[in-house]
Amino acid sequence: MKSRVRSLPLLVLAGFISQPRIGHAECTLWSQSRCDESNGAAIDLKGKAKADFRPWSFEGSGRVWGYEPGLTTWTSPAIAMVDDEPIVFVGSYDHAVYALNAFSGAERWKFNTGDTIHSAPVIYRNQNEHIVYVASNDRSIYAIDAKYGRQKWVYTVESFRPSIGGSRLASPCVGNLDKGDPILVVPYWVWDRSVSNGKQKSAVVALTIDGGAKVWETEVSDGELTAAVFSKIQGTGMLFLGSNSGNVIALRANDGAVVWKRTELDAVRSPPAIVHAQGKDLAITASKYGLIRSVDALTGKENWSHQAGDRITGSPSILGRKAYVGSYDRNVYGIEIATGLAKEKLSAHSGIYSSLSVIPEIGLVLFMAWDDMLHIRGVGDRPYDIATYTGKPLWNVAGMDDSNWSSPIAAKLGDRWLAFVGSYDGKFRAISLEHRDRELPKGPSNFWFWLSFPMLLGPFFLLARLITKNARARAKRNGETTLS
Amino acid sequence: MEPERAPLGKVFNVPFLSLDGTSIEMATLLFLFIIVLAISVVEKRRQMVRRIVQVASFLVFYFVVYSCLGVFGMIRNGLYGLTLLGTAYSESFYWLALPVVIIAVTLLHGPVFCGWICPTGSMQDLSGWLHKRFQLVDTTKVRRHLLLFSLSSGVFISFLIWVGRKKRLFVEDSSLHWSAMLLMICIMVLAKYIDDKPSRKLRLFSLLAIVFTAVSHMVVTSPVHFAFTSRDDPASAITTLVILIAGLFVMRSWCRYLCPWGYLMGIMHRFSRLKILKIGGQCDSCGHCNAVCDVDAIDNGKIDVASCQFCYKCVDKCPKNGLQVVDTWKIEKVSPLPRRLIQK
Repeated sequence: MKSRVRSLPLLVLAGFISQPRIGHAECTLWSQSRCDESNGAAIDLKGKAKADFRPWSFEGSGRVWGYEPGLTTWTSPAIAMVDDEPIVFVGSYDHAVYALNAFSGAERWKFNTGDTIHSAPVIYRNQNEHIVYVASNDRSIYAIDAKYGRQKWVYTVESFRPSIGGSRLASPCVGNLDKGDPILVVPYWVWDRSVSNGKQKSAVVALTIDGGAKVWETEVSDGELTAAVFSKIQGTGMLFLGSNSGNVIALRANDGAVVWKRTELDAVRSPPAIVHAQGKDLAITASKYGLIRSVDALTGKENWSHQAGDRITGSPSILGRKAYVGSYDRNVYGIEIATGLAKEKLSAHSGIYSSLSVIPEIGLVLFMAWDDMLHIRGVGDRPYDIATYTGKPLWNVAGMDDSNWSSPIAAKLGDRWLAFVGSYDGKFRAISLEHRDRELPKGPSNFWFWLSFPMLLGPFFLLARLITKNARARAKRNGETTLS
Repeated sequence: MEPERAPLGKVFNVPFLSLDGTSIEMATLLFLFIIVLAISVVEKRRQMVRRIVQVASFLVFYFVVYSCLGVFGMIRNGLYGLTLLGTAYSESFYWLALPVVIIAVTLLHGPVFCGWICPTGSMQDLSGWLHKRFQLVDTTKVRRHLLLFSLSSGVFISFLIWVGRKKRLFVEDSSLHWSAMLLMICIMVLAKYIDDKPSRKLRLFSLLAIVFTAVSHMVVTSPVHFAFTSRDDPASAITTLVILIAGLFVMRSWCRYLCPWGYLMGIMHRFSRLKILKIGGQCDSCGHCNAVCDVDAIDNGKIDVASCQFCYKCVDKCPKNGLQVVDTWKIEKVSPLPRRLIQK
């Protein structure tokens, strides 16, 4: 017994050492669609504190071109400190990219492209200059000066011809060649509707950061592609992306060669998250089939899988030792990366369609759900549960699963954490996550629901009685004896 | 390794998840219709086959159907599909297909959907069987029925309060209103405060309410809807439970008084090709058909088409073979005379 007691500290120490070491670089520059390889979508801008923050919303041009399936009203934003000013960059259905002051919502500049923008912009700092990269569905990738909104260069993935049916360009991603030179990687899908030349083309193109010259291009023979995620796997730069046909593809960043490709049971609508744990490099993927899978990032071999109750359209995000992912089954699952066990479950009133934003510093996750609300929840034991109404969709015809609508991001400005999200009601919103900036939400009330019972049952009772009374009177007139 | 999966009862539906949004629902229901149409001409063991089809259709609804194909959802989907005509044809087809197919089959073959396929109806048949098994039909024990029913209503209200304390209730949970209406109407019928037959007109009220909510872009989930999806829908589950309990006291009470789809089927049945009619003079008003009909749609061979669900029970149980399924369109075509003669 004594020896057991003595060995207890050793056992505790051994247990601590054997805990998986899980790490991912903290996001310092929004160079990927969800900031970094862990899909955290949260950044500390280390700016100066400002006066009281007031939530703001921005409506863009307000022009609605009409509904088309798969439409995204606003893209997920990107944010950076440009010359000591926090600026949030966001693409819109009205074909434009907007640069807005993150604290006030004031428009800094607007850059028009030739078509709708479905994908998130990314930012790269080249020497002392910030450049915003955005991919538009006019089949072009634009490099824009972040300060003034001037075009630096443009690259067109497929030149115009009258029979071009359309295109979907995914969010760009900044990666590195083996020599260390930065490249901009853009997955795209273009289709031609002509009878003679009908085709679809899914490819990933890598461009130089400075001039937009093509470095390599790889056709992946697939459907619509998600954004790519760049990560260094055992010293080699690799890119990971998913496709609407249900494939998860890993490419070598140096030459675009396909390293592995594995097929999921349904569409993969968002890029995987990369995590380095216990000497292993893992890609955490999620598919519309509702399956969350951990695969070896180098080989694509499965490590574990977890089945959610319904489909998943957002990306997994890494927070501490867990991968968080939201499902249409109304839950956010916190899955232990080492074992694949769902250790945590955060429930919402409605299905969750967005990718998550996770803030390790204050232990919060942000997500959008079908109840038209932005949900902000504490993880672990953190008691935090706020839901903010973000408006009804502009189009009634837009149904569940129709679109990958905007996902929220979070940024720390001064001593405040703010959330930014483009809502499908046509507005782009910024709210504070600090309690001091907002009133505590009132508890749910079912008063009107309960009141509706007597309001409905009363007239219904009278109607039922009236119908019987009339029928009995009629039967009496006709000399009938029974009715029932 | 994977501790938190879908509920055990839904474990087999995982392979079907990816079929959501496809035409699989349409295909499976068409298949069921084909079975029903084929089997209904075979008289031998027809009721046993009907039970098998009901079980199969329930499994189809439980594991294959993901859209809102409840009695409310079909009306809402149909209206929505109509609004898409002229703009998005393929989507319009997707939403309109099932209501149109069911209406078309009803016009051709009578309301077999109600009697053979509808999962809400199938569940009520289970209650109906218990109703007969425990002789709840005994009309002399009205007070006992009322007491039991009041107890059930108490349980319902307790459930309601429990759910209301746990979650915020929205318009989509309004199937609870329908369950409250059903409980109230059953108590009133048992207490003979209102009469069964005239109260069936209340289905029109139910239909108008659903149409109103649909055009107002409100979604009210149907009873049994909770079974179609793996989503948490306690309101639909409670309503289903209420329908089951009400069915113990008044057989197929949901179909009788509140089913909006049933009301539509009743209208369609008036114009349908096949009808059950009294043939020749074999009927001696023995009352066998009255006893077997779950919805009291027959009175000594005289059928109330607005309530008949085309289950064929009366045809199969008639000792004199006095009731037969007649192709009324064919009779009309040849001559109007024989039909009048047959109805005599």
